Amino acid sequence: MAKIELIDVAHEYQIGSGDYAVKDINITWNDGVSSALLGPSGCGKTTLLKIISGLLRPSEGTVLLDGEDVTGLSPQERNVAQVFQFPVVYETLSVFDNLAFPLRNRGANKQEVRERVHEIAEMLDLQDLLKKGASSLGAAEKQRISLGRGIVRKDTTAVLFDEPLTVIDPHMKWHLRRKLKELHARLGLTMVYVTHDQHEALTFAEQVTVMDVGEALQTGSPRALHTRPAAPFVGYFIGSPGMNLFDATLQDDGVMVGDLKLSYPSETLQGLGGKKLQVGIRPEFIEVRSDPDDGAIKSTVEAVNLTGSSLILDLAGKGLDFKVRVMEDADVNEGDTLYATFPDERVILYADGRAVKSTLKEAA
Amino acid sequence: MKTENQRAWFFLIPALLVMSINAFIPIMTVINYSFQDIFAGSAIWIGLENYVRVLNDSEFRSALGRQLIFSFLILLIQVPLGIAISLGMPKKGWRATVALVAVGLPLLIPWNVVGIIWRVFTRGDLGLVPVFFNLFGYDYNVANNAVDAYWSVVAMDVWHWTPLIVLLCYSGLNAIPDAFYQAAKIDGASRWSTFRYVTLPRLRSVLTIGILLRFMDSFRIYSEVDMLTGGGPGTTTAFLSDVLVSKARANEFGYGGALSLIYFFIILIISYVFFLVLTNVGTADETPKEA
Amino acid sequence: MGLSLKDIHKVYEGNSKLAGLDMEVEDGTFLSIIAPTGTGKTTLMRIIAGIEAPTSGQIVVDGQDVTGVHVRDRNVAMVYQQFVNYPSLNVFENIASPLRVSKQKYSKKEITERVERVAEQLRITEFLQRLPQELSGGQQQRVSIARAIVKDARIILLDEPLGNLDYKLREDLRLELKNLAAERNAIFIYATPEPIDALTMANHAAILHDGQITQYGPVREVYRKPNHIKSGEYFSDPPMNFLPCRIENGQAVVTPELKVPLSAMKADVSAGDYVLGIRPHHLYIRIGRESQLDEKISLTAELVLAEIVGSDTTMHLSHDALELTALSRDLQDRSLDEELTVYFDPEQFHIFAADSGELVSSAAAVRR
Repeated sequence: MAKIELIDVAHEYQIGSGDYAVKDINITWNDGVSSALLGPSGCGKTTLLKIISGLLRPSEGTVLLDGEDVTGLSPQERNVAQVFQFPVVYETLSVFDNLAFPLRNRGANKQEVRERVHEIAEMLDLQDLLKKGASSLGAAEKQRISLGRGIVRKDTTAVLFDEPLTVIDPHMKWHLRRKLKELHARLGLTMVYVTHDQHEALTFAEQVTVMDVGEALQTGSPRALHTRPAAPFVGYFIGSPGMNLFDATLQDDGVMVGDLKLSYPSETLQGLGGKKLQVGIRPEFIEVRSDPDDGAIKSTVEAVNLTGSSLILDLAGKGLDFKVRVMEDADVNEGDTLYATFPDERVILYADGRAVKSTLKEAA
Repeated sequence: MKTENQRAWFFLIPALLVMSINAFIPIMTVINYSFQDIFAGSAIWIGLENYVRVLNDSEFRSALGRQLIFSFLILLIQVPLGIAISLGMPKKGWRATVALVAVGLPLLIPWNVVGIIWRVFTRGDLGLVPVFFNLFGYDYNVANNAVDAYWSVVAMDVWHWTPLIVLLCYSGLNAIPDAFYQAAKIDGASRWSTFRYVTLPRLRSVLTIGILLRFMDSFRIYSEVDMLTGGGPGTTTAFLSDVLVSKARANEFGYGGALSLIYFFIILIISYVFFLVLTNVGTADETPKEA
Repeated sequence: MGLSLKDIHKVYEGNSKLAGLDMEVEDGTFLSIIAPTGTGKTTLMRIIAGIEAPTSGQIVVDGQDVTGVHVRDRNVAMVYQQFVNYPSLNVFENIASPLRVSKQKYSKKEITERVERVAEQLRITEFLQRLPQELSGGQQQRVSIARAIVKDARIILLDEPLGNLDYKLREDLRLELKNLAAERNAIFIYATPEPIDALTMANHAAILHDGQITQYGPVREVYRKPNHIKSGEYFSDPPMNFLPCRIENGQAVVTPELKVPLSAMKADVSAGDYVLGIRPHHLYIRIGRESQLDEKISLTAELVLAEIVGSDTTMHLSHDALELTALSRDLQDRSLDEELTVYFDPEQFHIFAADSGELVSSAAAVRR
């Protein structure tokens, strides 16, 4: 168990080149939290994971483990375990010996080894496979062995996962996700999960950090990221489809998006002059009615997309093009006229890529 | 239904032609000879008699014994040495290129030239080897001393062929994902443990190729030895190929043919055994130390 | 005019991969072939392309029998899951390659025009001079797609082309592909195990099962009226729930607690054992604004796992031996093993025959 803190962490590929893999990273993981680093390929999440585990020493910044500076320490010195994208097992050993490997390397006695291996095997449903050779098993089982090796030592401080379900058969994935959540609940270990898939991240983690181009854009609960995205990229990346984003122009008493005026108090608008303004609202938060409503945006349905459980409508009105989500069996066709409302508490104002705080209302 | 492209077959014709001239026809001829007693232009069918003669010949047997020991020694020295050198080689950058070229040079030299190089190298009047040994007070003489000759041949082969193992292992090592080493570090494995449980298992396929190739080639060694020692002193370095060649030179085609085929089958059987062992060792249900 | 497959059989070493497959595809169709991985989609695509010959059967394109014709002489293009580009040629040359080797001669000017036009459509103009390995996965796949559409092939085959890409990239590319197809009169055939691909891009869907096309029609129709359990199973993400039930006295009895009354539409189903099929988003965990739900038509179940997918939550639940999947159209915060009540929408389920799996009675039509 450990509290992990990254303070002003940055990593340059080559010192002085100005080319950073990650920068301005300040994140805290409390003891026992399940968390995820989420972002597209190349955003720096794997680099950050290596910095946390100790496989990479950042060119700037400090890594603290329970308050102690471990920036220069190796993974085994930090007692951090890592599960990789593809299963890493010792092929010439049996499942039992694989799980016992970390314990034996540190000189545990036979009794300790046997007890602990059985305990871990039971947690991971590997008890019946202990005698089998590790190389003969499938990907899902091998990943469980990798995971088991990570947690078999009682002094493991944290477990880091690098897209561990990549090679698992899609139908099997959710079983392993359940396993990971169970393990987390049972062992209370600090777990950090790296992935590009929002599904994995939001399902597994209590705390998610969204990254793009080497920066940590927002750290929060899945709900917070969904309803109060602090940056346009977070709004785009989380949710299917992503958030609607409009360019906005500053006015005296509000902002204009297309032909629509959104009013804001002057305190909110202070200091926004000269900044790039954007307004965002998620498709699922926009309300639509077919009955005329003067206060609403009169829009035409340009396209209707069935996603299975919902309909995504492409609407155009008041100079804006936006997507709205409605029930799958709603009777809507191309060319229909609908009246859309943007509820105040769901609209977020962004200035230069960061949300204007007062517009991030508490979600219902 | 001609959906397949038949044109590919035409590309094979030149190769087939060359192979029939260089391989099929000679092989058929040899097999034919082996069943005959050929003497002064006439040939009599004698069935398996040649084979029996070969197997009973003490010259053949002692050469076979020598050959087996030699090949075994070669594998014993070259495989670990090759692995060790490849582990020490730089993995990228200009240093890697330099290392690869340096290591690969011995492989590029024609085999009989290798023999000549080493002959000069070990010559009593010109060579560096005798000079070296004289520094330690040892009277090195490759021509007359059986021990010196034998180990010189071994050294020559090690110099010539270890690079093959090195290059195979080098590419094999580069194919091992970093994650495995990282995991071993995290698991607290010692360097030896890492080698034993990560590196060696993952080198299995290249080592299989390397061992099979080295076995087969060392078993057929001829030109280099011929150049260096000519089989001597006496019969110390007269391996199986030497016997075969001398029989052929003496126009004993029937005996030679039979010997060729026996030679071939020995290599085939031993290689197959190696192959079975190498592809099955360390896999599947191993009984653990404890359950 | 169009593509016609008649009685196609394909046998590999005694294994029948395609068994008497028939299909008619008209011009302008964007067809999605839906089936799990490994069930024959790729084989079918290869046969349509002409890379492989069927063991028996006929392929007719625009009225002409092309069954024995080699792929080089057919006017088809194919995009694979692994982005296949010539590594030593730059992007421009990659896209131009089909034009350069085609039997029809294109002038230099024409080639440049076509390549640039297609590159613009796929937003890769800035990469034209680069080598494929310098590009990201998504960009490389766009190059592959560009190569496929540059020569105005008659039939464009796409074999799970988005499988290796990040999910957001997939979302973006689906819309791009849909727009690209709309501009052309070619026949697009897209093989995928993911229903969302079909729903987003295609106008027609085909279900491949046991080596045959078991259902073919406009996408919405195939989606809403699966003619067989397999159609319901394959064309549903999360997977459709299939619950064995017994129909008697105007009710479908799933468990002693759960008896779903059969509305007038289904009243003519005779008593017996059936399978009830209901989509996850028609299982609700609370009665909100859904007026058709009834407290009594429900089951209690334990939550095995709640997965957040996009803006929805997929919940895997278990009730004794029954496994259910429910989809809630918001973000749910639930604990493992929590007990929930699952309400069934009494109008939105299908009834399938227990033995053959065929549809006996389908769910209600679209509701206002």
